[in-house]
Amino acid sequence: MPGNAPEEQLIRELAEARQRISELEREAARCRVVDKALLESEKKYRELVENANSIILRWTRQGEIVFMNEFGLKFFGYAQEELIGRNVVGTIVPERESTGRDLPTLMEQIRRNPLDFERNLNENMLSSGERVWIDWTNKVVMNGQGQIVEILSIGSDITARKRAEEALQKAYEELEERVRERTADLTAANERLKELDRMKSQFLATMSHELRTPLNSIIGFTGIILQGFAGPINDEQKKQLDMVYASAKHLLSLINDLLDLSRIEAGKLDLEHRPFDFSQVVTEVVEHLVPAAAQKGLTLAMDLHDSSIPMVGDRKRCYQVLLNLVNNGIKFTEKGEVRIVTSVDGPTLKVSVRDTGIGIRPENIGMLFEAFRQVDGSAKRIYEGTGLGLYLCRTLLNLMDGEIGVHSEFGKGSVFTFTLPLVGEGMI
Amino acid sequence: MKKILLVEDNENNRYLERFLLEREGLAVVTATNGAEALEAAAAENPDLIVMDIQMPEMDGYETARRLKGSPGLARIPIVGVSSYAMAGDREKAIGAGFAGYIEKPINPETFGSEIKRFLNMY
Repeated sequence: MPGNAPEEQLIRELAEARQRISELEREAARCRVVDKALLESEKKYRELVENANSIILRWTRQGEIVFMNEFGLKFFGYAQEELIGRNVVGTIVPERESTGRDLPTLMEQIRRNPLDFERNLNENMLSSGERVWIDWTNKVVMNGQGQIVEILSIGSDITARKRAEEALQKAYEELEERVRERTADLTAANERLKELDRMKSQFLATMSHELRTPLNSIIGFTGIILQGFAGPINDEQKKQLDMVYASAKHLLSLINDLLDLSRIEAGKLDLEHRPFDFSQVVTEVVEHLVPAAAQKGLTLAMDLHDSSIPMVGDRKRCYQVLLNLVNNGIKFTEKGEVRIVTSVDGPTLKVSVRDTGIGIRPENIGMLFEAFRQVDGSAKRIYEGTGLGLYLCRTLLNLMDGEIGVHSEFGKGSVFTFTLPLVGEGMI
Repeated sequence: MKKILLVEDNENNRYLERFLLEREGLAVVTATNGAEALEAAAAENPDLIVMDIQMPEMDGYETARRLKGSPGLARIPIVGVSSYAMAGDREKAIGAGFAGYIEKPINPETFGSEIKRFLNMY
C-alpha cells in the first residue's frame, strides 16, 4: 500500500511519541517519589539539627558564624539575624575567660588548626552577658577539592558541672587550708608542751637540789646530837631525835626519787661501768634494812648462789633497785619474812625478793610499774611513798639492759624478780 | 695544828662541817663562795681545802681549776663535797683537780675522820 506510506509513517511516529510520553510520565512519577523522599529526608535532618539538645554551630575559618541551630540560638539568647555573619569573638565568645585565658587567641588557634581541637572546653557568653561553660566537639567541613571551608562545632552546656567542680575544688582548698592551720596550731602546741616539759624537768632538778641543802643540815645536826658530840642527851630525847633522823632520811630518799625521775625524763641519767661484787650490794642492803625489819618482827634473809658475784655496771643503781624492792617487801609485810634470792643463768644475774605480805590483786599488777601509782586496794593511803619506787626500778633496770617482773598471790605475798647482764654494755 | 679552808655557801652547812672539823682538832677558816676561797687560800695557806661543788656564780669545779692554775696554791689538796653524786661527777671532780670527793648529806660520824685521812695522804 504505497499510497499509505506517509500515514503509516505518522502512525508509527505517533505510537513512538506515546511510548515516550508514557516513559516520561513514568520517569516523572519516579522523580516525584524521589523528590518526596528527599524532602522527607531534608525535613528529618532539619528537625534533628534544629531540635537537637546541643548547640550546633558552623563557622568559617575567618571566625564568621554561618549557622546556628534553634537550640543554640535559644540558649545564647539571639535571633538568627543577630548572629549570622558576625564573628564568634564578641558575640558568643568573650574577650577573656573568667580564669584569665585569652579566648580570641584560642579561637585563632582553632581556626588555624581545627584538626588539633577535636575537643575543647571554654567559657562562652550569653547575649545577657552571663558566662557559661561549653564542651565543644569540632569537625571540619571540606569542599570538593578537600579544602577546609567551615568548622562544625557541637557544644553541650556543662556550666552546672563546672560550677559543682569549682565548688568542690574551693571546698577542698578550704579544707586543705584548715588542715594547714590546725597542723600549725598543733605544732605550736606541741612546742609549748615540750618547753613546759623541759621547764618541769629543770624545776624538779633545781628544787631537788634546793631541798637537799637544808636536809644536809637537818640530818647532819641530828646525827651530831645523837652521837653525843654536842653533849649528853637523855633516852626520851634520843628516841625523838631518832624519829627526826629517820623522817629526814625518808624525805631525802623521796627527793632523790624525784630527782632521778627528772634526770631520766630529761635523758640526763648517766650510768657507771665499773667492776663490783653484787653479793656486797645484797649484804649492804640487808644491813641497812635489818633494823626496819626487826622493828616489825620480820626476818630479813638472803640466799646467795655464791659468796662472790662479780659484775660490771652501776653499783649505786643496783643498790638503789634492790634497796627499793626489799624496802617495799618490808613495808607491805606484817608477819613472816622478806628473802633475797640470787641465781645466775648464763650471762644474766637473776635476783628475787620474796615476801609473805599482803600481795597484789591480779587487776592491780598492770599499773604497778607506772609512775605515781600506789596500789593499796582502797581510796585511803595506808602506806607512805611517792609511788615512784617501782617505776624508777623498772626504768633503771631497763637502762641497764635488765628487766623486772612480779608474781603475786593476794593475801599470801609477792615475788619481785629482776634480771641484769653480769657485764653491762659499755665495758665489752 | 693543821688548817682547813672550808668553802660552803650555805650557812648552816658551814657551821655543821666546821663543828665536825674542829671536833677533830683542826683549825678551820671559812669562805662562802669561789672568789672568797681564792683570796682565803692565798692569805691563809691552808693544808687542805674542803669545798662544796654546787655554789652559785663560780662553782666548785671552776674554783678548783683556778686554784690549780695558781702557782702558789696548786699544791693544796682539795676535797669536794657534793649533794647527790651522779655517774661521771667523780671523774669530773678529779679532772678539775679535786683530790677526793665526799657525798652529801655528810655522815657526822665519819666526816671528820675522812677529812683527816685526806690530810694524812697528802
